[in-house]
Amino acid sequence: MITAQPSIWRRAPSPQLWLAVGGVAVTTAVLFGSALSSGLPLLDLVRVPAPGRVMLIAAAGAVLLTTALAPHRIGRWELLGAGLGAVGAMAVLVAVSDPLAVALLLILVGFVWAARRGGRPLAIRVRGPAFAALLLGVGWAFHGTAGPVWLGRAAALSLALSLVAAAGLVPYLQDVDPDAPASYSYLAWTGFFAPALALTLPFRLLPALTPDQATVFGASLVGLGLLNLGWGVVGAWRTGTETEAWRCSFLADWGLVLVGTGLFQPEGFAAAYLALLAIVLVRLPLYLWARPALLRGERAAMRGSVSVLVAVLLAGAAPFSGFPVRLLLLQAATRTAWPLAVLLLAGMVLWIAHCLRLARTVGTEGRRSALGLWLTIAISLLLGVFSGTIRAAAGL
Amino acid sequence: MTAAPVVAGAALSWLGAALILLSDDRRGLALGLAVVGVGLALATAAAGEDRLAGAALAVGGVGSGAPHLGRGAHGWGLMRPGATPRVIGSVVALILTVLVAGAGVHDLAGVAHLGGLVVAAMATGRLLTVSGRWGALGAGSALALGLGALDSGPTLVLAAMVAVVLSLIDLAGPVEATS
Repeated sequence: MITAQPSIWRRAPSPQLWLAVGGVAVTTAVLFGSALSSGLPLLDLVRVPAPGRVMLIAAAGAVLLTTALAPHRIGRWELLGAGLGAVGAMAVLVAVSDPLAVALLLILVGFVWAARRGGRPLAIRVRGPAFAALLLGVGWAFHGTAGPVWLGRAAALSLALSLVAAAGLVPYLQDVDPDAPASYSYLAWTGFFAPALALTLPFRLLPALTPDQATVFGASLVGLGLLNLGWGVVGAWRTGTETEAWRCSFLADWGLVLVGTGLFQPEGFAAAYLALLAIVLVRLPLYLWARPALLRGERAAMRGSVSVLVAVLLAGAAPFSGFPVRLLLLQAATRTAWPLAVLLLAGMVLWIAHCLRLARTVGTEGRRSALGLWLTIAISLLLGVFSGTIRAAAGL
Repeated sequence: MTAAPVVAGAALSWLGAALILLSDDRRGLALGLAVVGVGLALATAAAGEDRLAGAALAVGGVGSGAPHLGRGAHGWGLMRPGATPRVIGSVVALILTVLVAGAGVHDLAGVAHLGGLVVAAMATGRLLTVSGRWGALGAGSALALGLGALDSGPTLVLAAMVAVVLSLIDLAGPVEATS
């Protein structure tokens, strides 16, 4: 009896279990509570937009998929606890409607996430979310002041930059330690927390901005999106290490998201929404499947045909998840200004250059891992084929 | 409503933020957080905000500073050699904030917001330069208080709660000697 007890606790450590239970409880409360609270006074403070609801479900699915099936160096209980706890935190960020309250919660989530033992020091890991909170809070506080026009424009710029800072994109790139587990690196923000913010914050901010401020906000997002797209596709192609190439591929995805959001067109928002879902459900899981090869510093042992399939998926070809994103984005850009569509098209063509490089790092270790990889490919296929249905679920 | 208590509160909150920026030990940080909380509470309450919500900021400042008093080395760590750039930084932050954001100030609430803004800016400055765990957590608490003071009502209470929770995170970790 005495010797059996520790092994049970090793299998299900209580802090991780409580974190998982807490995350599930908060997510459930946010998903179902906001529908039931129509008569409550808190309705104005807590409201989940439809895209945020879909994102929460997608994030929970991604956590279950990667925890159960991806190759890991750290315990699956720890991952499940951290992952479901993160989904709970994401649910709160998505649900709260006051941007200043979101800024405060960003600080809280950033510190709590960084306080977990392992990885880089806390003081370094919190810099991104804390700076994002400052930009969001200051931008929101000053967008409505009756001051000079330039102050309102600066506030709108600050709001756009806050999203970029939270995701750790150019010009706020965070260091990614190749040896640190993925959940401890800043990619957890780039690939997990920030997509939820990107889906909900613009919906909260836009109605409150003046036309002048909205123009600055949108133009900043489009500019930063093009910068990240260019940086991402060239970086993923030319950079020295495969880990850095993967990080750059996240930047390229985010570039499409920012441009789509900044165009203020229905097709643009839909493209951003689909791209964010693909980041959480496809790009991040594939990165986890690439981690063993990245740590060994060599190519993954996988059949060439599977690598080509993954490369096609990563390139955004039909019928995978990237294709409708590109189609919708080009449609929205053409309607706004055709030179923008030309720039986007150039980025999309350059995108192909790095895909085989990334695909060669994606590998499997055993049957469970192989099942997970095929499931991820299937999810990408579903996102591509049923993009209309998925858009309709979010009302886009 | 008179301007004097609002301006005094905003000035006090800047002084508290400067203490956080200049301290390399926990007592200085705790005092800075308490002064920030009291200063912001005074400014927001005098500007016409709900007094209970304002009081929450004071409680948040004192509550987030208090856990630092019982841990680590018992020094103030103020103005140690090499602190000159931070002294200049705290003065420049005040001047820049008043010059840039002062253009949008037309009422007493705007003055109180200036206090919150200067605290948030200086706390972020500290956060981006500090390397130790407790220094970052203290700066995070100050950032939360400063951002909270930019809004009203429930946000002030949320800011105070976040500030206190951050200081509790420090209690869960090992004691560090330096900031």
